[in-house]
Formats: sequence, C-alpha cells, structure tokens
Amino acid sequence: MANRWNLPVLGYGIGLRTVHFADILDRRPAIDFYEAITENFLDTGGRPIHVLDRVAERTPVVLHGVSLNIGSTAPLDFAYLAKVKQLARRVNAPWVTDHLCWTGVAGRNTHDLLPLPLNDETLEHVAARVRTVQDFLGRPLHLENPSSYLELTASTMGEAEFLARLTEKADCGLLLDVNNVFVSSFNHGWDAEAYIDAIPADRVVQVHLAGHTDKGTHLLDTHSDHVRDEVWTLYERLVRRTGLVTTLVEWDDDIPALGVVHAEALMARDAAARTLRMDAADGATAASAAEPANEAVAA
Amino acid sequence: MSALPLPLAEFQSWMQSVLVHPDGAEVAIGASEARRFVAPESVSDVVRERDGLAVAERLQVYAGMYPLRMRDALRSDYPALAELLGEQGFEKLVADYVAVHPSRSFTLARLGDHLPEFLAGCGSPRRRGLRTDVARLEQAGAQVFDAQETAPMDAEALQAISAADWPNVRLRPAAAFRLMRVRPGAVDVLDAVLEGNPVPERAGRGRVEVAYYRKDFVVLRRTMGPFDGSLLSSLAAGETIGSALERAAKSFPRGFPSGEILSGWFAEWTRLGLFSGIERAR
Repeated sequence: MANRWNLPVLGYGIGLRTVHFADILDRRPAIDFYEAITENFLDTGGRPIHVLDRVAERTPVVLHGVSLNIGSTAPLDFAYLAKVKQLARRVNAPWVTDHLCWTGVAGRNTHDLLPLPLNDETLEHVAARVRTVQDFLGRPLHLENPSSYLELTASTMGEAEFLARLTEKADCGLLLDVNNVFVSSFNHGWDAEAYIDAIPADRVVQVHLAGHTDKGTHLLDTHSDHVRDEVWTLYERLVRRTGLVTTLVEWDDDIPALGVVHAEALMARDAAARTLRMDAADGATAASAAEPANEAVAA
Repeated sequence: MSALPLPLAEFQSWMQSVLVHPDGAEVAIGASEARRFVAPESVSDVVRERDGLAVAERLQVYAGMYPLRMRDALRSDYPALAELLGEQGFEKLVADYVAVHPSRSFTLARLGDHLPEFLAGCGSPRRRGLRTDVARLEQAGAQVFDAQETAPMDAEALQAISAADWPNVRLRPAAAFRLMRVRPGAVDVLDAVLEGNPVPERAGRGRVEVAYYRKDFVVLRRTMGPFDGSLLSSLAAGETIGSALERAAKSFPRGFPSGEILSGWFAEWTRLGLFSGIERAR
C-alpha cells in the first residue's frame, strides 16, 4: 500500500548532523535521503546552510521542525513559517514535518514537545492550524507522534485514534515515530501493537526509528543508542500495513560515526524487505493451499 | 482558580508555569502562578495518575529537562565563559539569566543574545568586566559563524584607487566580520580553553582590539596591535580612510607607521576578507 497522496518513498535515511558534515561532503556516502532539523538552518548564512545546499544538490532532503507549536493556543508565527517556506523551497523538500505538541505560550518557547489533551477541543484547534500551515507553506505538512511522560485527564480518546481523526480532518499525513509509540506505550501502559494497528496506514508518509534510555521508572526518548529489539518488532508490524515506507534513523546524543548511523538505516531497509518478503511468501503458501479446493470446484 | 477540566489555553498556561519554575515541579505546583489555574490538591484531576511515577514526578520529567536544555544551549554558545565560571557558577548564571530572558525565538541559538549585557549588570564589580568581555568575544564568534556569506572586496579595486581619492574612501565591513575592544585577559581565557589549559582569571591592563572573521566557513580570531587595531576599528565603524588615519595619528603621535606598513595592513585585511566593498564619500 502506498500513502494516499502517492508521495515518493525516499528510502532509508539519516538525520543530517553537524558531526557528520565533513564525512558527508568528503565521502559522499550512498544514503537515500537526509532529514534536516529545520530550525538549525534558519537565520544562518554560515557552514550549516552551505553544507545543506551541497547535500540537497544530490540527495533528497526533508525538513523536520521542532518549533511549529501547532498545538499551542498562541497565534501561529508567520514570520517563522515564512522562513520555513523559503528553506523548503531552497532545498526542494518534498514535505515538511513537525510534532503533535505545543512548545510554549505567552511568547515563550520551552523548546520541549509538550503533551496535549486528546479531545474534540484540541482536535478542532490543531486541525484548523494544520490546514492554515499547509496552505501557507504550499506543500504537505505531516505531524509526528511525540514521546510523552504524562497523560491528561481531559483526554477523551487514545493517541492513535486522535491521530487518525486529526489527519482525516486536516488532510495531513503522519510521521510515525515507532520508538515514540514504544516509549509512550511503556510510560502509560498502552498496548503498542494495538496502537500500530489503529494507525491509518495510508497516511503514514514517513517513519522515525531511534534508541531510548531506560530510566527505571520510565523510558526517555533520548535518540542516543541503537534501535531496540522491541521497536524493530513494531516497525515490522507497521511495514506489514504500510508496505515500503520512507524511514529515517534519528541519532542526536552520543552520536557515533556516520557509518554506524547509516548501518542502522540499512538495518531498517533489511527489516522492511525481510518482512514484506515473508508476507509475500506466506501469501503464496496460503494461495497454493487453497488451489486444490479451487480445482475441485472447477472440476 | 479555574473550573476543571481546564480549557486548552488555561491548561497550557498552567503547565508552562510548572515547567519553567526554577525550583522544580513539586514546588511549582504550589506556587502562586500555578494556583491561579489549579489548586495543588487538584493536580491529579489534570494529570492522570498511573503506577510507576507520581503526578509531580511525571511533571518533573519535563521540568527537569528545561534547565538542562537552557544550560546546554548557552554552554554551546559560551564555552569559555562556562569554564571561567565553573559548573556551579555557570548553572546559577543560566538560571538567573533565563528567568529574565527566557527563550522567545524558534531557535535556542538566540537564547544567549542578551547574556553579555546581563553579565555587565551582575556579579562582583571586580570580576564583572572580564566575564562580560569573554561573553562579548564568544558572542562575536557565534555571530560571525552565522553571518551571511558576502563576496570579499576585490584587491585590484583597492589598488586602483588614486592617491587623491584615498582619504574619501570608506570600506564596507563584511557580514562575517566583528571587531571587539576587550580586556586582554578575555583573550587569555579563550586561548586557555582552546588549548585545554587551566583558565586564568586576570583581566589584564588596558584594552585590545580582537577581530573575528571567517575563511571557508571557519571562524578565525586575531588580536590586533594598538595602531592597526585602532585604525581597523575606525574603518569598521564606517569612517573614511582619511578620517581613520587622522584619528590613529592623534592617538599615536610618535609612532605613525610608514606607507609600506599601512599598505601591508590593507592588503592583509583584504586577503582575510574583512571588507566586502568600497564606497566613496560624497
């Protein structure tokens, strides 16, 4: 199944991080695509934007923001959005993503991805803002499920249901962070498999994979390690529903050499291929098991 | 106090007040700002109770990350200042500063914009100057890093200026060029941090001009001599070459450099890309 907009499957990418700049420019590794943190490339005329330009000349780049503040009751920041629009045009980003969250009110930015009450009030509020942003940017905006550490009593629905209704109402796509599904499910006692099964598969445009840290009482989304086995299992479950999907490995803390991060992305490629091959084989087995009965009927 | 469940706007005001409180979530829940929206005993009517972590502990996961994020952002822009102040001193500075100048930008790169002026107004007068100068230097380096790339001044264009025109010419500073007048000890602090040596805490006598510029996207720093520093400072401030030389000559009546030395300086500044163009005064 492709996504409903037939947006391209970009393959298996990694985040564009400063520590890898020289390696990327010198070695030109065969990485399918890069994801740039939007805010790191706004308001700068120095090396970061120079590197991004060089990378975008030969490899697809998608933009991933952290300050859209889509769930906030503060007004949308159109000066910021104008810069995002300009950058997206500059690197020819096929889409722009940010998070289903709020980051601040009253002119303040906490620079955190804060949780929202998942109810009809929030749904109406966020959907209207997503439509406004998509119209302004003139290109698709897809929202990511954040990791969360608390739930709100004002929520009247689960996160998967909220995302399904939001993406329908705002006609936007999903950047499904499978690690965040796992982290939040652990922290709140959700059923991570049921979450994956409830996601509207045809709206998943991109996937994030990352490592997390076990703090004993809760899991913390640190992007500081390899993808855990449980997250790979969830990813395979998701791929069975979505088919091949643009997938990116995030690594933001204790960042290892470029080759290590790239290898993690290639593991995602292998996991997806293996899963889909197995499913195809299962389908063939099921079909051949059914054949004699069909022949008998035909006879 | 608001009726529960809180409307979205009030919930966000409440939660933000809890997360940015300097004393952590437990204390913040009982603070007057938070109580405007939610009574401390009603917090579990806003945040769902679950096994594993108490409500205040769940809020603290977010509240605990806030100061760390602010500290890391400022340390990234002001590493030498952080070394100079030590871990505890820098943490206190971050807390005091962020309480007055919280982030209001989409990027944490702007968080430290007011730090030099903030430092100039706090701490012991004896140490204030050095700390402020270290911060000013680091801020200049960060500004040069992020400045737009501009084409450097053409050396031939400079040489083509006739002797008669020289006094009336102005040099347009490149976007990626800053000149700072600081205590010499501030440069020593930056050098010590770069070299991994213990940080000296001496302001030193007098002032020096320090140039920040960029070559191939790498930020470089150079401490100027008294005469060329003074001359460069006047030029960077937009004075004509004639006026800048006159001012320098008044400051150094017995040591005016030869034409050959002056030509060498202009050639060097052109090579370093400190200026992006020539303007003739009307």
